[in-house]
Amino acid sequence: MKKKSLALFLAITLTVATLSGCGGSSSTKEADTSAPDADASSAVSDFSDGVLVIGSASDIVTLDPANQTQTNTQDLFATIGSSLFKRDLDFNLVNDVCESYTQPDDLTWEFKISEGIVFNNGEDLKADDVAYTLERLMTGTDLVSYSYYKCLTSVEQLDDYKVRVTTDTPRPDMLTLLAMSQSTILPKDYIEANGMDGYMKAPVTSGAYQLKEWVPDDHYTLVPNDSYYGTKAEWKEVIYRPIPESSTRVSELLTGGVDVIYNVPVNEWERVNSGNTSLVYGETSRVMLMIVRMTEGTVTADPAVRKAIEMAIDKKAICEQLLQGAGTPTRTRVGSSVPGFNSDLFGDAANLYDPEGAKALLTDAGYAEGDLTVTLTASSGRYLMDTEMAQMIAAYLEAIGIHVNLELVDSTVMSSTFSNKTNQELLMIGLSDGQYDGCYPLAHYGDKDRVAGQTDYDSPECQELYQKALVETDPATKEAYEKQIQAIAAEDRPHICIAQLKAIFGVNNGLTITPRMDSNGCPDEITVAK
Amino acid sequence: MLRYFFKRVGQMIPVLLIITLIVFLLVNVAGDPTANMLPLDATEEDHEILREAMGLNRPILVQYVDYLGDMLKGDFGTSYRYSLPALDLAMERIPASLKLAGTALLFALILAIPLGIFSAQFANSPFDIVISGVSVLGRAMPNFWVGIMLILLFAVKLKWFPVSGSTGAISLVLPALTLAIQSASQIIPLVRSNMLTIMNEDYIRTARSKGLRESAVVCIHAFKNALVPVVTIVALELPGLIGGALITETVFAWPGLGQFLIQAINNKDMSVVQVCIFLIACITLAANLLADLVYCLIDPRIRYE
Repeated sequence: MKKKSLALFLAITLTVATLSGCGGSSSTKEADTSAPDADASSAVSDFSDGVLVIGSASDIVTLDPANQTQTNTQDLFATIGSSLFKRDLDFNLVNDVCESYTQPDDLTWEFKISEGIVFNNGEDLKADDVAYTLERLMTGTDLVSYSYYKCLTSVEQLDDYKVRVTTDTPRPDMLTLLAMSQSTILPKDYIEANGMDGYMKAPVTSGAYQLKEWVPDDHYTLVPNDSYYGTKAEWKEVIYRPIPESSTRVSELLTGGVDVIYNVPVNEWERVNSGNTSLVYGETSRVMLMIVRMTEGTVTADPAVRKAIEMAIDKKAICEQLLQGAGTPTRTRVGSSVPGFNSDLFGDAANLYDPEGAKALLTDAGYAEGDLTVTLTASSGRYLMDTEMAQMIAAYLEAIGIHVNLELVDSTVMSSTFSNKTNQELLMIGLSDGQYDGCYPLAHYGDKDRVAGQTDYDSPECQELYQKALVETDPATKEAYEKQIQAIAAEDRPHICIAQLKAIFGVNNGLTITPRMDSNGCPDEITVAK
Repeated sequence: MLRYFFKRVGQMIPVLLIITLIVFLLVNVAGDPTANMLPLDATEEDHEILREAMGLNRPILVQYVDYLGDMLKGDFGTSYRYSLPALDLAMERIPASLKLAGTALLFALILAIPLGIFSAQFANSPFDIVISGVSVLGRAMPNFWVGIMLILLFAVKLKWFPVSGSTGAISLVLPALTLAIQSASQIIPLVRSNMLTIMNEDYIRTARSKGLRESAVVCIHAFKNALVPVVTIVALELPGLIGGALITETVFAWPGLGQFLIQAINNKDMSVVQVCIFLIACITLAANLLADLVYCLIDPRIRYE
């Protein structure tokens, strides 16, 4: 009898466990959860069903636009949300919900919102929604985007369609800030009625698409927003599938499980660039560079050593042979499509490769071969060919007599080293520009407190130019300051920039993609090939 | 027996508390979570503001006591990444992991038990040598590699199965097979060696001499006695399949607990790491208890006070 009771108990336990395993996972909405048929042919599709499937390397992280800095999530809000301004396909800043604006003084901005714009639940988008969104950004110290918007000092609703915003200092980058996906306008009344938790379960947005469902780590689906005020959505359905493993992502592209993928690894380029799929390159603002410690007492404090290091590296070979064209030599931290970019420091002009000249420089500075030892820290697998790039750089430096201790570390260790400023002589890292404004990356040259303990770069000239650029409202003058800073920093070398990386998309040949610098693949960049 | 069951359940509680303490301490020394949340070149001031807003600048003991108090109320904290309750997020992924683990275990047993029995029945024959070699190969091949090879052959080349994802039963096959190959490789030699030992026992000779069919001798008399160590392995495999299948889940983009845990570790999402490990610990302890109870069913000589 006891045995039968035990058997029954165990049978029930196993059944419950199995049934719970057979249950579907939850999603933000009750909806069809089917993903596309992955057995579809890898033939070129005509996309007559209007369904686009994008394979991404990671899932979105949140449905709160103010609490993210991840590119996939930014792409989502650029697609389903609206801001006061936005970037068009040529990366120009254009009006979105803002009809016009004025600047009564250097610290005050007044924005007039277009009338007739509605959220996808039918509610009007008005000044109170804009004010609510900006106030939340301005005061939310627990939001990861707070650091971008803490410069706002007040937000005031003037009438149903006018908002006044004041800042602590003149902000020539104001429109850039208000074009970022973090400033996606939230529906005030809806959130006050349902709470942020309610919003996160069923977001109310005003962009060209709306979120149909999100099954975390599986897929999220966008469908057109019929009440959108702008150019109607091209696609009937856009499905994003997070596929972390790159070889799996490529296999999905080749079998037709997805139509576009981002970040194709080098060893898969040949596979992708054949048959019915192709590689497409786009621009990014990510620059692979070495952070150089200039602290007194370190070997890299000597400008001759830093110059010799840069002269020893064949950036062209790295870009053409290692990256196979997926990078361009550069001497500037600022991306090529970002306002303020100094083109004199880009391309062939950025390759100073002269190993004999480097050796002579070191000899003139009093160093014999083998006198110098540097530690080069680099990540493994975080950036395109990062391990191989670090190994090549180490070999170049050894060739001119600088001994290199090469430390290849995990991505998270590299991030911590950078953030905690525990880097040694050289730290190889890929830095991008979250704001796509020339001033943003130049803080490393213009703000000595920012880099204290990291590069310890202290250039009064750069600092003065940086302070001027921060508050200069004339774009041409601002760009002139930014270019000068880049020229000075290129010679002082607190960073030795190697290459600006390109974005690499794998695309079904039935599609055309015009990738924007700040995205991993938004639906408006992808059209059916004619 | 009931007393034994409740006693074992009671013993789980201090074990779980110790696990939460160890994980809490390890996660907190792993680094600053704000480093992954803010842009790489955010200022130290920005990091400090976020740390203060999230309560991370409090003494670690205060944080742990608060965490423990909340945990006893069922609140395992909020995910830094998703801004949603960590427990809810982890529980959402359990069904997918259970589905995968259950299917993998089923495949493993379907493969391993017959092969182990046949291997023992035809011991030292070429058939036995091949099976033993294959099981060694299965143990030696890394999960990651097996998964990618199965994708290339069955999904890309032959197009029999989807490459990845979790749409329907068919998408379970390749990831479950990947996990099953390694599990089966461990179970096959165990079944084989136990069967070989038992087939030489006196009661087996008695069963044969009574005129029973060989299949009845093997399957009813011998195999049942060979099950006890197999149950141990299966019970130990189950938590590993649920929480340890992170590589397989990543390769096949399977939305399970393992992949979720890997992402949380990479992003220093401490609440999620803690709750995932807590859940895996619960599953491990429950699986061990289940194994002990199953022993009683299989072997009437085993009784617990």
